Amino acid sequence: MSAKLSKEELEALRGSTEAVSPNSIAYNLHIRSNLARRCFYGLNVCALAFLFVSGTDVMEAWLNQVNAPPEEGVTELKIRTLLVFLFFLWVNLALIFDRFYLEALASSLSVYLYAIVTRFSQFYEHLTLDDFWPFSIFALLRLIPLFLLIVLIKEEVQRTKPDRAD
Amino acid sequence: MGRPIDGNAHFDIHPATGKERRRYRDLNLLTRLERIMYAFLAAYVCCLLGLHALYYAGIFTAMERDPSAIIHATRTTFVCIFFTLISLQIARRRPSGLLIVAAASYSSATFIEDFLILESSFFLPEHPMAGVLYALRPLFLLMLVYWAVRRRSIEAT
Repeated sequence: MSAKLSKEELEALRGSTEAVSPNSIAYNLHIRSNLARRCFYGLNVCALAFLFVSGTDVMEAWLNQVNAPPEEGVTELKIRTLLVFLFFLWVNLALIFDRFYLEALASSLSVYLYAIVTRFSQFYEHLTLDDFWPFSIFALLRLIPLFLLIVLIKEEVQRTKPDRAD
Repeated sequence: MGRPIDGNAHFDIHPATGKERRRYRDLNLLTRLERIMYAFLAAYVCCLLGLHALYYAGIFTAMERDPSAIIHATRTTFVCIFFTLISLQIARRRPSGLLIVAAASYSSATFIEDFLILESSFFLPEHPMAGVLYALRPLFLLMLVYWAVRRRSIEAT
């Protein structure tokens, strides 16, 4: 057996012994729980899906199908896209540098809650029984990111809580 | 005495003593600057809620229904919830930093939507108090964001 390592083995060894930067997304995901990692991926998928879809006419067609009233305020598509993009950036950068991550999640939750409450309150007067199924799917799609955000905040609070018992 | 000495001894979490508990609760006390900021912000929010009340009183007596009443009602609800929760947490000496951060983000989002989309979203724009509140809004936002950063930095220490 040769004591000399192959080129691939040397590269693999070098890769495994290199210092891991604490300012990397891999490291900061690694130090969090499995559930937090999955929720983070899920939230990013939701945000990216929204950002891609908001550039097409799918949203307008969907809103027409459920007889949605005209968009106004924070539920206007441009504002929603801007806010989703800003919070997507903030959450990801906060995780990478491990600064203001919990704050980013709490901020996202409050603005998201405001957006969906405003949207649903606009729907309230226009809903009929025929809209039940389209509206249910519409509501469910909005509740998924909300649920992911709540789980992420809970996990992060659990991870960062002080050791002393209160 | 009697505590096992092993490799994980430094991870042993003992129940907090009375002194430690008091010290932890003292961390949640507001500093002098924070108290001043809280007084200003509370005064601003009370004036805003007063305008909301006048607006709703007008709705009940008006012949036509304002189509944006539901959006205004959503805003009133959010302002009331944030104000109540933050005040309660301060009174109970519990951590309030995350709530202040959430309130600051909510205020920023409504500011952006007012600036970009809604032109006459402010309550009763013809009222003299509305002009003052409108002019002080950027200051309100700045103070809220500063307080949020300061509170979180104290709580995370």
